[in-house]
Amino acid sequence: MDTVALVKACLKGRAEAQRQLYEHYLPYVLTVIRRFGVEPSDQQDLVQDIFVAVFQGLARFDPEKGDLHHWLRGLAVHKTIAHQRIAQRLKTETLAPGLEALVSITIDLSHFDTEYLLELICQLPVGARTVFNLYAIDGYSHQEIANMLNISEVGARSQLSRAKKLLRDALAAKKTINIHGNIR
Amino acid sequence: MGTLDKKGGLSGQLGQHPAGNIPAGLDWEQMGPKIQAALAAKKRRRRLLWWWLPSAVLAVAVVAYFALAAEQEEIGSFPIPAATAPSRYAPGETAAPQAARGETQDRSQQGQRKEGTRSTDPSAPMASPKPQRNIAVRKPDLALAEKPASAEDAAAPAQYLPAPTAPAVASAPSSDPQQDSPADGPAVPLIETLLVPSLLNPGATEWAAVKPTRPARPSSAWYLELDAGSSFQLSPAGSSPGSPQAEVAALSGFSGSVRLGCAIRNTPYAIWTGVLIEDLVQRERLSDAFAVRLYQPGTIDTIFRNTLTGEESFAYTDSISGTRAARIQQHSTFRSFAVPLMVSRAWAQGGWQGVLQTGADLQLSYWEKGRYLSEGYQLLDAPTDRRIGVALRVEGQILLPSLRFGRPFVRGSYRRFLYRPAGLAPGTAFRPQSASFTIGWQVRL
Repeated sequence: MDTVALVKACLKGRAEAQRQLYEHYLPYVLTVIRRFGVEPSDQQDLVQDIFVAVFQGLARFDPEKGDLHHWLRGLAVHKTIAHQRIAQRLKTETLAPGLEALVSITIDLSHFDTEYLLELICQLPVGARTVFNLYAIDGYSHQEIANMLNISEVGARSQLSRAKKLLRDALAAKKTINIHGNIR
Repeated sequence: MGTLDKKGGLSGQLGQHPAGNIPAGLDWEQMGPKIQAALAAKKRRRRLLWWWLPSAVLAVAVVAYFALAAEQEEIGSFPIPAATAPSRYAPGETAAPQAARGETQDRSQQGQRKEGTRSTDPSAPMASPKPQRNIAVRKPDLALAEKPASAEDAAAPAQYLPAPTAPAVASAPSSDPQQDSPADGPAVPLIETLLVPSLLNPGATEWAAVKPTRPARPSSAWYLELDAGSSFQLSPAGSSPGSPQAEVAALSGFSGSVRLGCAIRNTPYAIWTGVLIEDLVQRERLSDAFAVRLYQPGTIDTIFRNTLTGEESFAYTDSISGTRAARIQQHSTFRSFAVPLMVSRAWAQGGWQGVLQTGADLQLSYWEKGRYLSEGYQLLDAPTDRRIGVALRVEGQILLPSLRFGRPFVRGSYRRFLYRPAGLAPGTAFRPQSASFTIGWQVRL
């Protein structure tokens, strides 16, 4: 069943279509939830909230504006952010802008194992992790991130800088090139 | 190439990655019923909302209708001549002079209508609120009407005698719209028809015993007020315990209310209640800077160059000195809902009115958004427990002269809690004392 037909069937309330959609997109939703560091004990409730919102909001999905995967991922990100906002207070500490990233190292991450990278991202502090996820993976701008997290744009930049530095450090510490990949 | 530095640089690699190791509790067999139950519950809630909305509109419409209908009754009603007979129609007078004075009577009734007053005697017989349905509820002495006492009485003009169906008409409103329609005749002949018994035999009727109408008095009235403005807390709710250098401003914000008042008859006093909301915001700022060493491995610290050979060598360091600046600005909102019960006293002068009112509020207060700075510049949530208590309120109000749809007013008020809600930091409490200045509009219902 193609996406449009699946969406139409879900809008009609057909349980079989809802099951198909759920089973197909659950792994992607779980990736989002995990990389934002949601506690395993909260994952089930959050998955339920996300899919309830998905089935409720499917009428607003416009296939011409993008594919269902991106729409659903965006919804999962927003729900996860809202959950994290309640569960953990995001820090609003800011760094002086002039001190950011004095040395730039370009790292090609394509050779690293994806699960390993996700694990590294999960170990970041909550503020840095959230901003890094939104910027580097979900493609939000600093302005959008600042609005979503109710922090300043400078704060978002500093959190991203912090996240990148911590990731570089972690990758440098794991210079076991043969295992996880290259730092270039 | 996946990179950390590009916006969305890892979208392809990590954004499209499906998670493995899906927990057993997340399969559709377990999650499906929960999701469908949640969807059904949300649908029910939405449906309930849509059912409640028209119900609420209907309730408001009914209240508004009765409020307006009551006003129309007050304007349109008037005492039937029976109540005023002793002063306006002397017993024994013929119908001719009454007819001659009919215009004067109508004018006096109109004057009464304009004043919006009516007889305050609850036993006084009243006509129907609709002018075309002038049917008295007090039954005349029909036996006397049917049997004239003398031949002179029998010669009374036929148009003033009750019709054969008059008893039924006079005893109760007819269900026949034709009977009650204006085509039955103008108000004066009908009323005068009722006077016939007293004209025929003044001493035998009860009309003479009816008390004359008392002068018009101010009646009870309902008022609705809506106002909004600014409110100021007279002291801050407390500063953050971990950062004494933070600047804390006093709370200030929005204040508004919807009130319903009832004027006590024949007195300048009124009783008021309603719903008040107050949002007070406390702003806290902190700007601090301190020296730090930032870990930056591979940073070139010194370059050594041999000027003879041109050979260079580098000394590296893994940290650089810097300044970490913490600029934190946050605000906390203290919200309170109140149901006041107040008594007001009014003084009127030249169309203006001054009102002083006082009373007590039943308060529900809590921190809607409360945060405070702790040590290490961590922002922590303040307790958001809801507290119920009582507050005292004193208000002064100046009402401008009436306009077409009511009258504007300005109001200043002072409120003091009789209990102490929780402050921002845990374990602290404060006593809100606020002054507010609002402008609003008052309408008489």
